[in-house]
Amino acid sequence: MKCVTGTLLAALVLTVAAVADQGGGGLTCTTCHAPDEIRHTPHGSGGLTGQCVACHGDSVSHFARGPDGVRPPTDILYDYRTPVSAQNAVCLDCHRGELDHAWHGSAHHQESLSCTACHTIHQAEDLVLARETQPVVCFDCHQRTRAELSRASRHPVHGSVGVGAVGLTCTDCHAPHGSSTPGELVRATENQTCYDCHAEKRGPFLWEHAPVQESCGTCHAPHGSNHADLLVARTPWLCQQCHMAQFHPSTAFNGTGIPPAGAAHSLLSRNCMNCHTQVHGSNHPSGPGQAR
Amino acid sequence: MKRLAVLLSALALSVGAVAEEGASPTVAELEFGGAWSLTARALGLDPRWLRFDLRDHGVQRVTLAYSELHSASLRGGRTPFRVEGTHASLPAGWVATGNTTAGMPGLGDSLRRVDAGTERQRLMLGFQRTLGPVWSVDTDLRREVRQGSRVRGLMSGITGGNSRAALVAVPVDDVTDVIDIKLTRDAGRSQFSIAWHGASYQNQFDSFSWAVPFAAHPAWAPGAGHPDAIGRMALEPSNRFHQLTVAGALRVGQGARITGDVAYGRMRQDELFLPYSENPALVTTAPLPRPSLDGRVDSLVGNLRVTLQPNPRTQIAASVRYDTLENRTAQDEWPYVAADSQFQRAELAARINLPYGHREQRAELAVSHRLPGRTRLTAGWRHQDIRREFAESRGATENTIRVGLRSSVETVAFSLDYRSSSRNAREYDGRVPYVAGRVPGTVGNSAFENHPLLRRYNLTDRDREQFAVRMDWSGSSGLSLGANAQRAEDRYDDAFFGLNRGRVRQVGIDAGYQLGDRTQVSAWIARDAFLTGQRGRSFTAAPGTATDPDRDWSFEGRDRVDSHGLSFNTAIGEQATIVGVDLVRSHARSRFDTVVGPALTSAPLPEVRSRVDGYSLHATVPFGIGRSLRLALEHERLRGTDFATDGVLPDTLANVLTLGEGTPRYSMTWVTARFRHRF
Repeated sequence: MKCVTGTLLAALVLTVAAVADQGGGGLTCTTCHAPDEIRHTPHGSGGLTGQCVACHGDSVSHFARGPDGVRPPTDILYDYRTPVSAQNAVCLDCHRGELDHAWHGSAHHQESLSCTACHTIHQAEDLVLARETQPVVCFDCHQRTRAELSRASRHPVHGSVGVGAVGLTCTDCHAPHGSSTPGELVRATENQTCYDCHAEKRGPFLWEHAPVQESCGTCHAPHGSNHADLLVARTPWLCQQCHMAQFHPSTAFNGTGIPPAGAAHSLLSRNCMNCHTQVHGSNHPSGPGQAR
Repeated sequence: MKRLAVLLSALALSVGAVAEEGASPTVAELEFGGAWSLTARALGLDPRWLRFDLRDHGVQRVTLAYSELHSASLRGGRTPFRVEGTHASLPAGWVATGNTTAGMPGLGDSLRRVDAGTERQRLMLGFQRTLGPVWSVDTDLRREVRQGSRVRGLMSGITGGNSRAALVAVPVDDVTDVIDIKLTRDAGRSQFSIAWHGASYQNQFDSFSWAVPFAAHPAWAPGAGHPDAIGRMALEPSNRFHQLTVAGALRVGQGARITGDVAYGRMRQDELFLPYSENPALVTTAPLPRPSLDGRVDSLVGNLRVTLQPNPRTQIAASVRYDTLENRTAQDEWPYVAADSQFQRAELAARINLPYGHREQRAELAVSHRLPGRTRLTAGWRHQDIRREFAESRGATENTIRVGLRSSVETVAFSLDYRSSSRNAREYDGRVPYVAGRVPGTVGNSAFENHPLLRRYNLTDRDREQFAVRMDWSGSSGLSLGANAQRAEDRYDDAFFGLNRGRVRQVGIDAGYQLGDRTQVSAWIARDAFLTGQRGRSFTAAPGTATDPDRDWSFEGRDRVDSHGLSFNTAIGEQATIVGVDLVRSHARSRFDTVVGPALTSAPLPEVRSRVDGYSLHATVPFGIGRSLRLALEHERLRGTDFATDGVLPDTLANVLTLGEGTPRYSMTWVTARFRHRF
C-alpha cells in the first residue's frame, strides 16, 4: 500500500512539475530570467510561487523565437505597450479589496496611473509601502511638494530633507487610491484630517476664530513654508489681511518698528501671537480676543 | 559631541542593531516568509519606532506599532519664570518698578535658560480580517500621549490697544484616542462599507496661571499688577468627535460606476469654564451664563460620483459634494474682564459668542480623452457654492475650468495644464460679525471694528489663474532629464484694503543618470518665488483718521526659495556594497517693502533668510544570504537671520517680556545603523 501511495505521490509531483515546465510557470521562466528578489515577496514566496504567468499572461508565443530570432514579448507588459486598464486589471484580480471604492474618478485614476507606476512587484521591499521610503516614490511626480518639504518650517515627513525628518509619511494624510475629499485626504474634510494629529484645535470653542473651523489651509501651507508655523505668509501681515481695526491692527509695520529705531510689540518676537496666543480658539469667558 | 557619545554608547548596547537620532530609526528588521510574516523594526534611540506586522496574506493582518516624535520649538530661551505644574512664578524678591520691561531691575540676574518642545508617543493597533468571500473588517486603534511644553503669550493687562504680555513655555500634557472600525462588503460588482470613527482628546491641564511681572498701570484696576496679580488662561479644552460613514459603489455595465458616501459627525466640548477673572480685587457681579459651553458642532458630508467610459479612449467623471458644518452651540452674552486688569464689562458692553458654521456644495465634471498615439486631453469644470454664518459675506460662488494635455513621443513626455477660476462673493458687509458679537442695540449705525474698505481674502471676489508645464526625456544611455514650470496668480480686485494680489512662480529641473546597473545619480533644483501685495490704512480712535488717505500704506512681501538635492549611489566590489551620499539644501530669502502715505513714517526692513542643509553618507554592506548592514552618518543644520528675533532681548520690547532666544538655529549630527536579516 505504501508503495502504491508513494508511486502515486511521485507521479503527482512529476506531473505537476511537468505541467509547470510546459505551461509557462516559474520553472521555465527562470531558465532565462534569473530569479530576483521576488522570491522574498508575497508574489514569489506565497501561493503564487513560480506563477509568472499569473501577472504576465500565458505568453505562449514568448516561448519560441520569431523569424528574426527575437522572442515576442509576454502578453502583458507593464509599460505603455499594454493599456493601463489591462495592467491594473491583473493586479485587481487579487487586490480589489485593497482599492478603495473612491479610486474611480480619483486624481491618480484620472491621470491613468498604473499600479506599477508606484508599486514595485519584484523587489523584496515595495518602497511605496514602507513609511520611510514612501515619499521618495511620491516625489517622483510631486516635485513641488518635495521642495516644500525641504523648507525651514515643515511637517516632519520622512525624506523631506533627506535625513533629518522623522515620523510622518504621505499616506498619513493622503489616500493615493482615492478619496471623496478634495486633495485625496484620508478623512471626510480637510480639517478632520488635520485634527487627527492636532485634536486640541477641534473645539468647539467659546470664542472661535472664524476661518479655523472652515479650513486650516486658509492660514497654513500643509507641506511646508519658509515662514514660521507653516504659515502661508509672514505675520503680522498675514493677520492684517483680515484684521484692520484701529491702533495696532492697522499699523503700517516697517523698519521704524525694529531696533534701534523702535520696538513694535506687534512686529517683533512672536508679533501678534505675543498676546493673541489662542489664535485657534479660546474657551475662557474673558477671551473674545483669543488672548486668554 | 556629548550627544554623539551617548549615541555610540547605546549603539554598542544595541549590539550592532540600529540607533538613529532625529531620523526614522529602522533598527532591525526580521522577516519570516510563509503563510505568516513578522516584521519588527525597532530600537532607535531618539526617537524610537517599533512595529510588529503579522500577516496571513489575503486572510488577516495584525499590526502593532509604537513611535515617538520629537518637536523642538524653542532652543536657548531665557526667562525669569519658574514653571511648576500649571503655574509660573517669579523669583523671590522680584521687583517691578514700572509697567514696562524697563521697570524690572532684577530681570538680568533672574534669567534662566528655557527650551520648549513636545514629544508624541503613539501606540497603534490595527487588525484586518476577511470574513468569508465578500466581507472584511478593518479596525485601527491609536493612543497618542503628548508631553512637553510650548511657548505661549500670557497677557497681563491692557490699556486701550496696548497690552502687557510675557512669553512662557507652558506645559503640554494631553492624550488623543482614535478608533476606526470599518466593515466592508465587496461583491465585485458592488461594494458597501460602514465605518465608525471616534476621537477623544483629553487635556490633562485645563488652565495655566502666572504671576504678573509688570507693576500696575495707573489705568488698571486695583490688584492688576505685581505683586498681587495672578493671570490665568484657559488651555485647549478636552473634546470628542464621532462620525459614522456609509459608502457604496456599484458597477453599472461596462465602464460605468457609481460611488457615493455619506458621513455624519458630531463634535462635543463641555469643559467647565474658568471664572471671568483670577483677580479677587476686580468687581465681577455678573455670573457666567453657563457653567460650561456644552458646545456641539454637527458635520454632514456627502459625495456622489459617476464615472463613465463610453469608449476605450474616453473617461468621464462627474461628482457632487455636500459639506456642511452646523454649529449648534448656544449663544450668550459674556460681560468679560479684559486681561484680568479691568472691572467687569457692563452687561451692555458684553460680547456674544459666534458659533460659526458653513455649508459648501460643489459639482465637478472631468473628461479625459486619449487621441491616437500617446496623447491625452483633459478638461474639467467645477462649481462651488459656499454659505457662511456670521461672516462679512453670506457666501460665494466659484467656477473653475481646466484643460490639460499629456503627450509622449518616443522618449519625450510632455504635459501642460491651465486652470482658471473666478469667485464671486455675495454682498460684503464688514460690520456683520462686529454687530452680531455685540448686544443688540448697543452698536451705532456707523460703528465698525475693521475698516469698512477691508475685504477679507477668503471671503471676497477672487480671480485665479494657474499654468503648469512639464517635460521629461529618457535616453537609452541611462540619462533622464525633466523640467517643469508653474505660475499661479490671484487677484482680489474688490479689495481696497487687505490682500490685493498673490503670485507664485516656480521652476524646477531634475536629472537622473544610471551607469550600468551599479551606479545611480539624481539631482534636482527648484526655485519658488512668491509675491503678496496688500494695502491698509493706519487709523486710531481720533476723528478723521479712518478716512484720511494720507494714512494709507501698501506692503509687498517677496519670498524666494531655492532648493536642491543630490543623490549618488554605487555598488562596489563583488559583494555589491552600496555606498552613497544624499544632499538637500533649501535657502529662503524674504524681502519686505512698505510704502506709506505722507501722514506716516517708514523705514526699510532687512531681509529675512533661512537655510536648511542636510546630508547623509551611507553604506549598505551585504554579508551572507539575506543579511545586510547599513551604516550612515547624517547631518542637518538650520541657520538664518530674522529681524523679529535677532538681537531682541527679553526686555527689548517695552510691553512684552520675550524669551530673547534669537533666530532659531540648530545643527545635528547622528550615526545610524540598520541590520536586516531575511529568512
